[in-house]
Amino acid sequence: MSMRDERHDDAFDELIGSVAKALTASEPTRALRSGVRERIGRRGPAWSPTAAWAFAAATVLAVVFAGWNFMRPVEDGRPARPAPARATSVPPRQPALETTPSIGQTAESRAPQEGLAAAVAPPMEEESPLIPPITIEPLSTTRIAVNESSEVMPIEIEPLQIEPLQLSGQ
Amino acid sequence: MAAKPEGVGWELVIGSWEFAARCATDPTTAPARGSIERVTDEELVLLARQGDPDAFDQLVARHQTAVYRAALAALRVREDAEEVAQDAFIRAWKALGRFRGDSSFRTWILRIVWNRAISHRRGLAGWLRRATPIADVAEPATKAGDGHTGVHNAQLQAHVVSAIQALTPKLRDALLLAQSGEYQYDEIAQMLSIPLGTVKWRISEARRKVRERLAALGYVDAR
Repeated sequence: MSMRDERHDDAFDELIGSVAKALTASEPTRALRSGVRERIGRRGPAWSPTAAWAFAAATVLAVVFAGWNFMRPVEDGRPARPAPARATSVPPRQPALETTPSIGQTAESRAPQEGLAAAVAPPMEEESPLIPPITIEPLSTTRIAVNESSEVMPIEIEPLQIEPLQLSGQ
Repeated sequence: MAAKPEGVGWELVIGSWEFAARCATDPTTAPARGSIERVTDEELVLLARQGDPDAFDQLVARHQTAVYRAALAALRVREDAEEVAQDAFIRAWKALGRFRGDSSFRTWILRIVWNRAISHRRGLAGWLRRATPIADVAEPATKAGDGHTGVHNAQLQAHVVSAIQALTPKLRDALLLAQSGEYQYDEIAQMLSIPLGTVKWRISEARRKVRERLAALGYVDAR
């Protein structure tokens, strides 16, 4: 490469450099700094160890309370948690509730069971029937007379007459 | 006793305490409006992490031009660059707790703004805004000369602008960042997350491509 070429390369490189520099030679407006200032001023501290500890403590308390509530025993004949939906599918009359109390079973010990049964069992309808029972008479059926089948004539089959093959040339 | 922030040296913590204590006990020197410029970025970061907006404002004042120009190099539209720069500072403010001090605040904020700018550029809004010709965004300075030379120079500069615009984003980003005069090559490497050698190659390749394009337009000595 000659000295003249190098000079031209340098000139073009300088031109490219100056144009590229001019493309980013701009200053930010005051709005940038004031906008940041305004936005961080509204929020207060960006990161606070105190806030982090408070959040952690609140989380632990919430977990402990939820666990205690979950594990709480049954009080006053009512379950701590709502009865599951399948309790509603219990048949109307449960034999266990109708049986006589066993020996040694006191009224106090039966009370929670009765309370529970009252909560889940539907009202008893048999005590005061509003509609009289319907009596259904059995249907009288008559036997249908079927004629005996007539005699079927046997089919006579004649045996086939098969002649032996005659081979030519014999 | 306060816990040492993760990734920050003890001497820095002690220095910051001394600075904070000086501000708290000596009102004549404390406001630090005049002296705050002598405080290092690391000290300002520590104060900002404790929720001091003035310290963070000082960091913004120090680095806003570098941050804004990085965004401008990527986006080429002043309004977008300013919006992204502001967004980057807000994100940095929110993430100060996670800033470990492995790199300088300047490097950290430059990486944030660059990622935000690239994300913006990839979005639909950025794509639409790029339809704006680059020459309308920032006019390169034209040297005064006689009439014929002036027109010729203006035309040549316009061709250089369009040749830069025609570069691939990777080459153009490296060229614009390097030529802005704001960043060292190693800073550009960290911003773009590429090796230093790749930065140098991209800049050289960008120049070569521009010269090639100029030669194709009839500037015979450009190649």
